[in-house]
Amino acid sequence: MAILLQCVDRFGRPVVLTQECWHDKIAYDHAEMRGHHLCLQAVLSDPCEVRKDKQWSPQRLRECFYRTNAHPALPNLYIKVVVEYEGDAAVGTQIGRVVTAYPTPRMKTGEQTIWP
Amino acid sequence: MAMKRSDGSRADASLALAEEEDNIRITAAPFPIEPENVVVSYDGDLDTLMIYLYGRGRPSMVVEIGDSQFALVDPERHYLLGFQIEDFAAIQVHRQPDLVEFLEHAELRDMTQDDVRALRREVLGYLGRFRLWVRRIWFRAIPHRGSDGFKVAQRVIRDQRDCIPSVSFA
Repeated sequence: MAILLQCVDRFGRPVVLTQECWHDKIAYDHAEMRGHHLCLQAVLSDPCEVRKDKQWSPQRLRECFYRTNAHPALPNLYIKVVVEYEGDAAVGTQIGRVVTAYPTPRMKTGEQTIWP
Repeated sequence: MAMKRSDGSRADASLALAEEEDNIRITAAPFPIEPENVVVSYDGDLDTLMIYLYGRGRPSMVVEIGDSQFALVDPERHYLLGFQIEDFAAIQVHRQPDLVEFLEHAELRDMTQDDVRALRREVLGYLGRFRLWVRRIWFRAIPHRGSDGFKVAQRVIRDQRDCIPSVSFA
């Protein structure tokens, strides 16, 4: 699976964005994100807020990163990036993969804030 | 989030939603919904159903209008372009079993037709599936206009009123 983007998140964990996820999901479902995959790196490394996904569970470690001023054409909107982590956080082997990303004017209700 | 509904008699009537909190007013796009352009897709990994009323490819932002229910909205003109329903199989179809019908018209990703059938059995039960069967026989027996896409579009419009809170028809 080809990697389109590899970076570290706010907490130093490696996160990857695969070509497949980008082309078949994010850019396909959310046209406004096309050509802006690099803005995901800004969201992940320097978010405004990080939240647990509403359906978060120990078996489904999904976290949502939000940041404004990340998308050049939509600076007032949050870019939400959802990352699913695998591995053991305690021993620092957690790796994340981006599962979706899109612009939204506000954070989703029902998510639990992790950071700040 | 305010919900107000007027007569709702015209399916393609203008649609307005007062998003008081963010001062976003979503309105119907000034172009008609063409049945062949309506796209429904479901992603099993994300458990999200997407409904594009005017096809894919229009830039949009995702505005929350209900519990895990979102409108796809033109970022500049605030036209309603579609819907994004999250936690679809986990929560939404259990609250509103008829929604499972969308999956029969949807492009499926990370979900098979067998999964769809299993979900239908789970959420509709015998009675619900019988009701659907009768409805299909009815539609087959009586000549009617329109393709599957047209029916999906009608369904989308109807469910906007019935399922998605805070959407109002003028």
